[in-house]
Amino acid sequence: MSDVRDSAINFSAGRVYVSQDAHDDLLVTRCLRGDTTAFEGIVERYQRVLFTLALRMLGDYDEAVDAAQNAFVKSYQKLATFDRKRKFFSWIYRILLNECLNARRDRRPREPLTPELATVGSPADLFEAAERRRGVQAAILALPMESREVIILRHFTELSYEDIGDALGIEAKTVKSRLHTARERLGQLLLAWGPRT
Amino acid sequence: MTDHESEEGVAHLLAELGPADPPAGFVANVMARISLEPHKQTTGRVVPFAKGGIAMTRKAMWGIAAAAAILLGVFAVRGFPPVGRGTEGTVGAAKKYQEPQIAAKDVVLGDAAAQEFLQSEAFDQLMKDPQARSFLSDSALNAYLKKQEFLDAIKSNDVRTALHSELLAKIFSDYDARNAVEDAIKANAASAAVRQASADAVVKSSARALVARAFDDAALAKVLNNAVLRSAMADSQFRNLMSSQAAAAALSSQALAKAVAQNGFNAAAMSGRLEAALISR
Repeated sequence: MSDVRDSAINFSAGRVYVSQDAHDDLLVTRCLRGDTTAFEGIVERYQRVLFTLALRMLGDYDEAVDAAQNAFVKSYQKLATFDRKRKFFSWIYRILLNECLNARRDRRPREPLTPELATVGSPADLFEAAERRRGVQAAILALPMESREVIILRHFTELSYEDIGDALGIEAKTVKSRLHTARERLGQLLLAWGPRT
Repeated sequence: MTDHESEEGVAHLLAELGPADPPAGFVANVMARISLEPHKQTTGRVVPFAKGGIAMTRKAMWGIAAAAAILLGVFAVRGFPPVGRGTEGTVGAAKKYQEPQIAAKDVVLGDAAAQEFLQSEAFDQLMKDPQARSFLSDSALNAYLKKQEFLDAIKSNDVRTALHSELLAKIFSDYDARNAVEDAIKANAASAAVRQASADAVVKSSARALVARAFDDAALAKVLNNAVLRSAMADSQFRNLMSSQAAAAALSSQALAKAVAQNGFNAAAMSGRLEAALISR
């Protein structure tokens, strides 16, 4: 089902802009003072990037929704432990990653919702593009987690090497070298599986 | 093809994949789950040891050491204070902490009800049912056992049975179906109206058909009409627990039915005394 739904998602071009400014700090402060509604601002800000990362990490729409939602709920529960010297995205990203790993671990075979859903096809003119996207997503999922993380953070967000390093707990130069290796591996997988690079 | 061209090709394909938008209602769903969380935020900043906590501890230790050194210096110059007469060689009895007797004013009604339940035959039977015990101890259920509305809802045999329903699990594991439930609740739609709702997309009509089927079942409708139960079913961990065969056995057990029907069950669960009792036995 997820493949079918994936092709139905209205993807927009480019990467997700990750806002990381003083507004985060303000929202966190308000939450810590008991203003629950301030957390809505945090969810609004980060929903797209966290959902995109979860979807690319897991390759399954429903699992991605669950993982992203759980990450927000857990970050709310643990907000008092957030070190304000760090960037909020780096912190919540680690929570999301754990949720994705849990989802992968607990993964059970799924059935399509209904038979007719499973047979919904893409329009003919979009078929090739949809197939190509499926191939790329499958290749991403075949990467080891270390490579997958850097590819997803670099290519689906507008984070700098430094910010990616901060989120992953590694230096920017290590991000670059991992990214190079990951792209190479991804290229090999895509060549082997058929999509035209 | 050069490495550079190959990398560019990969980057191009990844760009084509692009970011994705979360489904409609995502923020509302997160906020609904958060609204069920007990408020436990603090205004203080907790600094983990790994991020400076140790440094603070060291500072405090240096402060204490400095104060002790000053005190020793003063005593060395002015002489140590004499030990009080009559205390030489005396070994005093260790002063132990004794919990004061609970006064009548300290006992609130909920405590009494919880205590009564924990001493009841129903609780004893619950403890002798390994599946019910295991079910109630499951971490996926823990947060919900602190909510009055959830506890009241599971007093119903129909609701307990419905929580294991495959149809409900299917609905709540699908985002369109979940939204269709919310739409139906908001519109206060009867099952017939939901069934007849116009299908503008195959996905949505399939989801609506499932939801209509669920609303046709009185027991499932009870779950769908309960905000806390909907929120619980939207939680994948809770849903997975309810889908398990062990949970099915626990939910239909006589011991659980008898326990949840007791007056003090809610008080024991909400105060955490039930959880403590389950762990300690």
